[in-house]
Amino acid sequence: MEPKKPISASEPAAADVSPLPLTDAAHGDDKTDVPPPSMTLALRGLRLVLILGLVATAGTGVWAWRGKADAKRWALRGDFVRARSGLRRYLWLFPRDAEARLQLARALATDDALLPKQRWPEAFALLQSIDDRTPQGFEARMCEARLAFLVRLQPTHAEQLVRRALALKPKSRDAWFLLWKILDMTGRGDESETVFQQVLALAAADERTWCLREWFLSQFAPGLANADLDRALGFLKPDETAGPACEFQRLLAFRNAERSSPLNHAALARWFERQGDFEQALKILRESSGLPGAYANRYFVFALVETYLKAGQADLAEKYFVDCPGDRAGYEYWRLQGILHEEAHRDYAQAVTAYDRAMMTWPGPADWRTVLRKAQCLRALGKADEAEQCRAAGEKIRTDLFGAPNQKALLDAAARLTEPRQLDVIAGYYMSLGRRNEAALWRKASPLTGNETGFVQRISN
Amino acid sequence: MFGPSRENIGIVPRFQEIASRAGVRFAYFNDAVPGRYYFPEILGGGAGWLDYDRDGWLDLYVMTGCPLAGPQPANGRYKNRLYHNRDGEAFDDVTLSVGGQPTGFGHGCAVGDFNADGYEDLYLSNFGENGLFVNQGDGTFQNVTHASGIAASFWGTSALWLDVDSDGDLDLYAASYVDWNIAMHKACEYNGHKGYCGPGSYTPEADRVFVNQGDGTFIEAAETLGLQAPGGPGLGVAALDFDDDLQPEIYVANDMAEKFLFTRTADPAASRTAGVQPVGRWREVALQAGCALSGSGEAEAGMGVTCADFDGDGRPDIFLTHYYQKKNTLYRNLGRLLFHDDSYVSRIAAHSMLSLGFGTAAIDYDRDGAPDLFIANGHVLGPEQPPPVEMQPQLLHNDGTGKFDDVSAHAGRYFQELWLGRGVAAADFDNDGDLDLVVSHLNKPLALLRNDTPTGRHFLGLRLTSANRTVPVGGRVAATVRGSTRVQPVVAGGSYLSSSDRRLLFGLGEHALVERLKICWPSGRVDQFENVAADQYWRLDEGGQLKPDTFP
Repeated sequence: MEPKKPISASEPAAADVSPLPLTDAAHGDDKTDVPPPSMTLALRGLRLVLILGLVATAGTGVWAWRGKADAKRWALRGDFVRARSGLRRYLWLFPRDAEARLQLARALATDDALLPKQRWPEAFALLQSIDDRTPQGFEARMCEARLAFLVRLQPTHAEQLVRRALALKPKSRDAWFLLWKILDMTGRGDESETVFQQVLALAAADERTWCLREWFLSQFAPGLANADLDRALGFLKPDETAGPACEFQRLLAFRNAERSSPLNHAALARWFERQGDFEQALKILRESSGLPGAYANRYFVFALVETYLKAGQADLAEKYFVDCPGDRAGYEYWRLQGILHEEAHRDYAQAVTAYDRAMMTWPGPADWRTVLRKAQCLRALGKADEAEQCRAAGEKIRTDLFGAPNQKALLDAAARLTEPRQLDVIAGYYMSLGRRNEAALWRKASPLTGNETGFVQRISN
Repeated sequence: MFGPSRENIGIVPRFQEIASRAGVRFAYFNDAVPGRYYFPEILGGGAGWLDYDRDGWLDLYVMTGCPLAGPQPANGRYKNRLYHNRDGEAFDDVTLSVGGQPTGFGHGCAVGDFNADGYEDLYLSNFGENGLFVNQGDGTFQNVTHASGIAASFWGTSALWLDVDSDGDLDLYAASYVDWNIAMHKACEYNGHKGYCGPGSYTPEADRVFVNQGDGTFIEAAETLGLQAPGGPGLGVAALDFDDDLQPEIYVANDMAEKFLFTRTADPAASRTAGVQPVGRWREVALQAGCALSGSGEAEAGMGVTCADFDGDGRPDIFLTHYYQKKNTLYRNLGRLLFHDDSYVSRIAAHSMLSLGFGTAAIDYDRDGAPDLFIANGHVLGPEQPPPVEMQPQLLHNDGTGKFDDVSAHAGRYFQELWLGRGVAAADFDNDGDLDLVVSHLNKPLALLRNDTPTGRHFLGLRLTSANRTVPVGGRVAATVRGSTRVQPVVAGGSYLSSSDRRLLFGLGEHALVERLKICWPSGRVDQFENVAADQYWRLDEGGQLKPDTFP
């Protein structure tokens, strides 16, 4: 038993102590009820432990919280190691924090000093663990989509993620823009008009001209429009000009990285079809037709139909066309319907009707080949004057669009949009196509300042 | 590619290459100098079949080039060759014995009896001065280029003989390529490699029409007659009746430009020029007819042309060879001088995207009545370009409805090898009732392909001569067997730089008798014969009787 502690000057004298409420025992007993000395010590010890524990917990919490709070600052400074360290300790305490997960994923993705195996698996896992319904859901889906597209080269998966992001935040310009590029880079530029319209509607005033230019290039010079991204992804060397070879490398990489996607196979097949190798195109399509969802994918089915038509197997083309998924509408649908009428059935009247419908939807008005097919059909129907008018109209589109001098002038204008008159050049081109809306947009647009962010930078942020 | 297996092919084609064995040892000299890329080097040469001595066996005339720069060798080393056909078994080089040898950078030849003496004469298209050689009838030829007034210096390619002014004698349509000479030469670059420039780098030259005056002389009258249109670097040309009026149209395959289709319209205001009859003026209608451009409006290359009724509807269609990674084109004749581009549905496109075609011939190699297609392929940009440069030729089988399958893989060793194919001329040189082929190449010997396909089927051959002793171009012949009728037009020209057998050959399948043979002459006369025996050649002179065309 330890000796009593001597009463120190700091301790109040017993008489100074406020009387404790008397216990019943105190009332009826002359003796005072004081816990035994051992119990006091234990209680004090427990109190000490609790206090120390609380302090430690609070301290740890603060330490961890500081880690998350400082992570952003460290990341901005490029010190991703410290940023990750801080975020990891925070997540150790608060593993469900979606914001921290998102930050950590970003800190992994942005650190070029890490090897791929050190970055991507964990980054993806973190992002995937963030539910759509959390406040960070949209950002997580967007990050995941970018990584899926730019790192894993999985455009189909990326597109699914972007569409999830858009469901969460329909007015995200960046999400629509990413979707637009995914469509362009997978050979579906024909489908991107509505997406472009969204981007334009959501763009800031000083971004609209840039948007209009991107749209113009994506439709009339897709190689140029995609060149920056192709270079960033390694499909185009710095001194190379974009062309079929680069497009092939890209589509092949997408197909190899995402073999389960019928769309990737179809895009590659279409490349071969455009090069005239119908046999190879059909081989790819046939081999991938067993993938889940192949025949439910409109792009895949249309690729099959077009290739069979080019290969002279109109009966097979029609078989797949009849059961094509989606609406019996749209440019591509009516265009293929027209070709089937024309070539398989020699029903030139029906072909003309179908071509007319195709030309009502973009890119129909710029599709001079379909206009000239229509002319051929009119001619076969004996409508010589109408055929000649149609042919002249198609020829004008072709010359204005692809005639070497005009194309050069248009591309030059697109490259010099800091000069106001160049906007008028492009506006005039759209007017010649009868596209008054686009022409009006160009006329209202302001010249570029030259400080606009490049596409690759926008999409990578 | 898209070819049937041997089991599904039906009759297996067999073409034996026998040139050297048969005594035809020849290679076109194109004077290609590494790194120089003079444009004429790449066009190559053609061949012409003619029975110059009227012994019943078609002889062979082949074109060659010569040094493009510098003096010509004094010994006349670079001569076109004439090979005399010895009973269909072998050939003898009789070049030196026939005299009148031209010198010049040769491209095309056209065979025709312009003086109607029964002996076929030769027109030669050259880069430089052209040439006209009249068959003396004694085994020799005389150079009458200057005496005839036909002499002209231009880049001549394909040519054909045709009565363009309806005065009963043969005139000459001579296609012309582009305005090029050494002084304006340039090489082009493709994908970082040097190569030959294309026709787009130069100005097209107008085609020429030399009108026969009937006295051994000619005057040039293309513009007067309406047979001239701007912007056509002509390579192939064919004449036949497309719209059932028994008057020939002229179709010109222009390279990377709109094709021409000339037809005649009765025009009271036709100008009267000395020496030119005021018949209906020719006019160019290819755009309106739908055979100037592809179905999607593109100006395609257009090297070789051949015309035949591919789909069996009684109207001759047009087949054109084109560039690499571009389709060959089949224009289906809809009647009324209208055509539709059926290249995809006929599978012609599928068979041609990975080849570059030149000379071509419609031949019914299996005697089933449907004309098949032979195509000589080979690239044009030059040896520094990445492959493919040399290419395999093709044999396409017609299923009877104008759809084609590639049967090249089964046709013989020649089809498995790589060539720079150029001129093609078809002829039944062994008179066995099927068409054989001669193919001229760059850098490799000429090929003589004898058709040895064992069909077990029947044929009927026909040699026609109109009242004015010319081949009745514009006319047509219909052969009916078991109720089914096949129609063949009488054609002048065709292929590329070459001149084929002028006789008509019908494949009759299993039928040994032609129930009805109907000949429609350009004069309007119609001759009809019943129960004509198969497996032989017949001869018919307009107004005469159908006689066996025997061979001495």
